[in-house]
Amino acid sequence: MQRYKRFYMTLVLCFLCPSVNAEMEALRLAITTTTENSGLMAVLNPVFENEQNVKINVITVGSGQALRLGEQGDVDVLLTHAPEDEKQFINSGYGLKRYPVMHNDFVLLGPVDDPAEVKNANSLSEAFNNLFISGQKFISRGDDSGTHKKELAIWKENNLLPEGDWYIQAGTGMGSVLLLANERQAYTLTDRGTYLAFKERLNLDVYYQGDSFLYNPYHVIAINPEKHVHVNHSLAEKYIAFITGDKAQKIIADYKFHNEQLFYPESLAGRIVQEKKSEDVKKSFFLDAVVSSFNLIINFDRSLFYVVWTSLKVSLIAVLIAVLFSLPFGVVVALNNFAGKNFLLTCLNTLMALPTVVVGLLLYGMLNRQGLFGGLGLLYTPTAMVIGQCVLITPIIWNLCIAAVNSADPRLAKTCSSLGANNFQRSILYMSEVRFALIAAVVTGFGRAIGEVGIAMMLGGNIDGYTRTMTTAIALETSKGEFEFALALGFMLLLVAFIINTLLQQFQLKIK
Amino acid sequence: MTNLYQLKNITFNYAADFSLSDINIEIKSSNIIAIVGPNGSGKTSLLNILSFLELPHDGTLMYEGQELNKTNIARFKKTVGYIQQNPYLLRGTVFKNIELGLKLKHIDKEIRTKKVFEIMKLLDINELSERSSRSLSGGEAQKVAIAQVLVLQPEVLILDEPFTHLDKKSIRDIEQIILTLNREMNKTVIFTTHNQIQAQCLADDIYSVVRGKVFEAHLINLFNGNLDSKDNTFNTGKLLISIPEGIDQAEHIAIDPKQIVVSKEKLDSSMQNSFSGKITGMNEENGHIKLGINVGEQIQSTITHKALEKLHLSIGCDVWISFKSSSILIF
Repeated sequence: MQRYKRFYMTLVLCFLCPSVNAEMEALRLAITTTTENSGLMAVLNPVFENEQNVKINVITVGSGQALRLGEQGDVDVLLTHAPEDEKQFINSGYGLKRYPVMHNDFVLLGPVDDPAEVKNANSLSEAFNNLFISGQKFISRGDDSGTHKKELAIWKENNLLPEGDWYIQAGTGMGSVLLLANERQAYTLTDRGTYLAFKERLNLDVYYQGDSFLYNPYHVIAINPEKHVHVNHSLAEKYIAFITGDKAQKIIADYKFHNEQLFYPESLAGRIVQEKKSEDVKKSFFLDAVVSSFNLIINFDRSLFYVVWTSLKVSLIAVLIAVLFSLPFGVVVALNNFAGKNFLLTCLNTLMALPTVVVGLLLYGMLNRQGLFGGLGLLYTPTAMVIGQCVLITPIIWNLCIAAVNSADPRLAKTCSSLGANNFQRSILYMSEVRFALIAAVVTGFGRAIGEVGIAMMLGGNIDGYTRTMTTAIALETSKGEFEFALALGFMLLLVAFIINTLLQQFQLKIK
Repeated sequence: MTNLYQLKNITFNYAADFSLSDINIEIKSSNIIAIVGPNGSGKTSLLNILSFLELPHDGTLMYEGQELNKTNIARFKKTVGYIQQNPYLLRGTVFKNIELGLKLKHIDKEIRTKKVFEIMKLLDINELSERSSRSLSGGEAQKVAIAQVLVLQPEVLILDEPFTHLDKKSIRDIEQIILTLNREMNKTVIFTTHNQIQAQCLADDIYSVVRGKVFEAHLINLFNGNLDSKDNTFNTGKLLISIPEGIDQAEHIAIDPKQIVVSKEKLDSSMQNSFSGKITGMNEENGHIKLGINVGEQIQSTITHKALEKLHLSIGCDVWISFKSSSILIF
């Protein structure tokens, strides 16, 4: 028993220690999924971080959402590709000035046999008209991203109204849309960077490209410090100087993915090279992914284990706080009768079904800079995730604790009474008698916390090395097509659940 | 001996249509009291009142000469050790279970250990000390439960159905413990049981609880049978007994032995029940004569010395017995 106590105390202390990341000066950068999927940021940002000895917290969203985060002052700097909206953003005074960083272009992809005959079109207009008339399936991003805005602009330019069964609005990131288009053998508009990153996995071809309207420029914008005094403006300016400077521009120019150039730096303006058609090699991705995922685990991949660590830290602290509240109140509610008890129980039962995204949404509304508690600056921090998970699992643990105490043998009440136990002692005796059910309640809460994705995504922002958890990483990596990493994380998630349950079983045997 | 408990017109409603009503009993200290009666008759509720777990809804309850009220109930409760039917022991060893009550009172470990061993020695359960409470047999658990409350040194021990589901050896052990507690430690012991004979063997006083009513003395001449509400008769299988009119439900009857008139000839009286039979037994008890008479069923009648002399009764005599239908207790 003593041994176990020390073990758990150490564990708790470990998790309470503040993270190093939280103390370092940090820049909050919102980027689009297309840039994230390309892997460019993972090469570019560490250079700046090392130079300045700061941490960049990257929040990956669509361009529309990125601009909204900027309006609310939840980030310091933006890297987006939605020119019209960017102009309006600056005109409204939210951003100071936009600087061109790089560009690539959009391409129109479709199934191998090109049923809509887009291939032979002489203009972008003709290509989209062919598509419209053929009634072939088209997948739209449907997420207010830069790519989505560009696609809508093309329809509008040609006086076409995309509606009907053939027009599928995915509402998700670029990578996911490409995979979806591949599965459904549909047409879609994509930025070249993401297409190249996914090319090997797709049974789709480029059928239209090169029109000046398909030019896809990326701009960096610092948030106006006059609108939001708390933004780290000086660091944002340094970042802009860096990313438009020679060093970064060279990195962008040299960045290759699967031997293909993804972006063209603005200062070293170059022409988009006609893409060479290469033979598609189809492989069994799933099997490869399983093998690679085991390699990642066995080789103790640092980023993999950091994500696991973040998940454990956030969920265990959330469980700890939830238990400190739920356990005593669970016992009190179970052992006492009071007015409104049934109402409370009904409420708790209802809250057990609370969807994670609803918790995420409510807290997002309160924690963002415009929200009630915006001044605390908690959005996109591990603390916000802890709060969210706490809100999520408190009703679950509370309710299960009540059920656990109610499951105690009815004779226990008389035993307590005849031993002269006072109310507090009675509560302790009940907790001791139903301790296995109480532990099960806590484990259930932990399982819900570590397995949820809605709150971690909405309140944590999936920032690499800071708020990225196992579930948000799985969602992201899948959308990027990085199945190995996603699968490895899936295995880790199961492994963590397995270890915790094994420990629990050992613990139960020990204290029996 | 002084009265420990005095119950005057106590009423207690314990379920939607069940209640104890008009309870008037006195319990003397340092006595063994048995409470007998069928299931659901209200025995456990009576014990709950006597152990101060429940407050009566009406009437007065005197304990140690003081009237029970909200201020002294907690103090009274501490003087009573209550052992529920099929007692519940907490997880852990027997020693820990017995020690628990003292621990809750924040008594020093040294004194606790000493007291627990004393009690275990008294009840002869030393060898159970390190056993897990969940591995005990029914009889062992019952003994541990007794030890658990006894270690708190109550003046009164109340046991609800301590003999149910126990084997013969364990029943004997628990009976012995009850006698030891009473004779050597001068404790008042109150217990409930189904077994009339056991009650008679162990107890100084017996109370019968039948359908929420409490009767001083146990029930004698108790018969099971069927009611014929048209003819106002109760058939025990061997006797057809006339009962008062207007009874629509009855499973048992009991006839007060003092109300049974014994005669050599059939009496010409208003008493509706008259049966002839033979005397099968005769003994003296507390200045009265108890007669056993076989009239098809075995009936017990209590008569005076005078009547015995006048009637010249002896074992094997042919006699008549007569009793009024109003002297029958029906339930």
